[in-house]
Amino acid sequence: EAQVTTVWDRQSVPPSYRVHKRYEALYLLGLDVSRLPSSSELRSAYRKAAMESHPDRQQNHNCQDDAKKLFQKVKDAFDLLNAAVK
Amino acid sequence: MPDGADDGKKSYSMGIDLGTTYSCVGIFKDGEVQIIANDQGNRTTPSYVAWTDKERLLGDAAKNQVASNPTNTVFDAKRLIGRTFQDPIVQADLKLWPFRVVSDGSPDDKPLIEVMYQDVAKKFHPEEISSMILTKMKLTAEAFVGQRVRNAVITVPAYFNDSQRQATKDAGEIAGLNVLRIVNEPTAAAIAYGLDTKSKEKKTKSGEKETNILVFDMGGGTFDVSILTITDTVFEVKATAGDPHLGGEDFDNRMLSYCISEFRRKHKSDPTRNQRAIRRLRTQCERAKRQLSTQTSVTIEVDSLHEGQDFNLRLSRAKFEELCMDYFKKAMEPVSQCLGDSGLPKSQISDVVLVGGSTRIPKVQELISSFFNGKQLCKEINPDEAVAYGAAVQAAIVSGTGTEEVENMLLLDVAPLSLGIEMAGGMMQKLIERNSTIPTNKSQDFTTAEDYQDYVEIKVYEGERAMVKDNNYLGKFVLTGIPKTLRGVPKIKVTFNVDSNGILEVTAEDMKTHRKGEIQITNEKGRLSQRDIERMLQDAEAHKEEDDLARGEMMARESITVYMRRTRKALEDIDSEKILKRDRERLEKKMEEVDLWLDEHSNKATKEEFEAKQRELESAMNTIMLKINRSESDFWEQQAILPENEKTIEQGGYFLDSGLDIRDLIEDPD
Repeated sequence: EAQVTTVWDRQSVPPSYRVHKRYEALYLLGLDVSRLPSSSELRSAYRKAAMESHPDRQQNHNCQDDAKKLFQKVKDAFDLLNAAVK
Repeated sequence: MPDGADDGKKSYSMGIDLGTTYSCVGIFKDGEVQIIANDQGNRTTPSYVAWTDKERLLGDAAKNQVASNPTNTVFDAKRLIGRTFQDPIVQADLKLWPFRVVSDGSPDDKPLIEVMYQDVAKKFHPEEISSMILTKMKLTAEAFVGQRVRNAVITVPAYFNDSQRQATKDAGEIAGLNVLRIVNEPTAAAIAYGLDTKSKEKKTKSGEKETNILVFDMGGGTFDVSILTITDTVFEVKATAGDPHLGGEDFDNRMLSYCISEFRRKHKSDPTRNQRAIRRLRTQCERAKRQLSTQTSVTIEVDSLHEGQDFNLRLSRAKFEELCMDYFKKAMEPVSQCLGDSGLPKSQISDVVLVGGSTRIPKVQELISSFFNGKQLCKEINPDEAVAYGAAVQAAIVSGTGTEEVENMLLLDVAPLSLGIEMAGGMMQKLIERNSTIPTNKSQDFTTAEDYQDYVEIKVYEGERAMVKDNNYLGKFVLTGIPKTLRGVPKIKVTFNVDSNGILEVTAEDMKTHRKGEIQITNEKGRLSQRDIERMLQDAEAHKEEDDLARGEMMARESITVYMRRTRKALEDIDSEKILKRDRERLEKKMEEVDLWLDEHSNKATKEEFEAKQRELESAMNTIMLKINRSESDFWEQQAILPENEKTIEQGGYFLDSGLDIRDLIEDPD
């Protein structure tokens, strides 16, 4: 498995993960796709991805629209997994 | 990107807590937040604007003269902002305000505040009043940093709806501000709390520790509850609830009605129509309420309140609590709702943070504490300044003008109300659920209901009820130009987009033609149009000129009064033998005359008239000076020392409160 660094690198999901929304979500958040994460693992991954993608973050000031879209994807991924984890 | 830290002059961004009764401004400077005192030395400024015969007054100056000028002193604009005139809340408040509020008469039914200024009735939108207060806060910040400040984060109650947020943003624009962000008050307070706790823990803990806190924010006019999960750098709002119309002023009103009924009972006369009496009594009630937070009983006293009768009443804390108990209890409902929405049990809340002046009330603290089974409450942060503090931090984050520590923080806030559209049968179809993290967007596809229909009408609402009629109507969107075909064939994608300010934008797109245009917002309820805003911006500029004019008159008036005082002192000091009796009498007569003239004209004379009068005096004085054979300049040098504690115009401070635009004195960084 290729080592990806930030959520920006993971935003285009490889075709093999597109079979299920849950896999896509796990991949986007940089989590192990073979199992369901614990609640704290999930929240930690979400926070990290949010820090990387949120339009308010200084590194994203020049790409507001893209950052906003990516952040929304991150949030949707979190919501999807959070419902499963509960 | 607003960077520019290295080109010598740093640009600053401020955080403004625009409160119902008081406002506060903070700025991130030299690695920390500074809460800025106004020209009166106060760290909070009354949200008051007043018009006298001569000039517009802002802040403390406006509030200080309220008893003598009740009908032209405006406050509580935040209770009007983003509402319609017929709104039951507006109608109820109306009865308690000494100033006049009327409808603009348009289908939008916007409220207007009417005051008399120089014998002309002037009408203002609540946004304009708020913009004047924002201008005052801006001037305070500019005086502190010594340069222009345009960028601002403005806070609103978390439970403010779409129209109220938009109207607040408009107020910022009318004040000539670049509104970086509208931030929720409890969220801002949570930042203050988070930074405070972090500095105490000395960063021994790693960033992954999660803490859940509840912020209970009760101010002068609004009430919010928010639950946040805080880690080292991320502040995530889980849920928010509140009442945009509950706060200290409601308690004042209860006390006021009680006092009035007591007065009526004792003196058999009704002061209700006596605006001045009501205002004086209200001020005393507010003071008594504050005192009752530390004392168990107070005396409310007003001399010669109405028809020569004094008012005197002993009020116990228990009686005060009895008068307001239903309000206090009402405040606990949003607490339960917020907890329920957050999905957290009470035991998971590790700290309850109190913000806003009304949380000083012992009974309020007692009720919250017992709700959390006797929990110790967090009173570490300053309840009056925490919101402005957090807003200043968020301003630094968003503009990238903070320290590394601050810029590593992230705020994840939520939309307070569900947003949706009207479906068949008047049902509410929610697109965005309340407490959704913002910014967010959600789309839904629509089609036509009839053959050959070439437009669709979409009505947008906010609220939690199942039927749209019970929710708040925001506006109507009409998408036209749909290719005529059989019903159910066209596909129209409607997208709801809530931005980081919590403000909604709606777009619609015909998926076949990909036409996005021709969406008309036919009724933006409660909102000012762009044209309105531009006109108000111009009005505000014009007002600045009037203020400058008033300032010129004040300078001239000040100048002549100072001259009179010096002359009087000179007459005492000069060896009496050196002045002819006749000259002395002539000068004294002249001074008496000017005194009388000032008494009569000082409120209406122009700058030129003041100057002319001063010249008359000067020539009378000069005659004497020449005779006693002493050079004039020597003489004045000796007299030049001003009495202690007195500031000259040149030293500033004096005029800031009468609306002087100090931008004129400040070097522009650009």
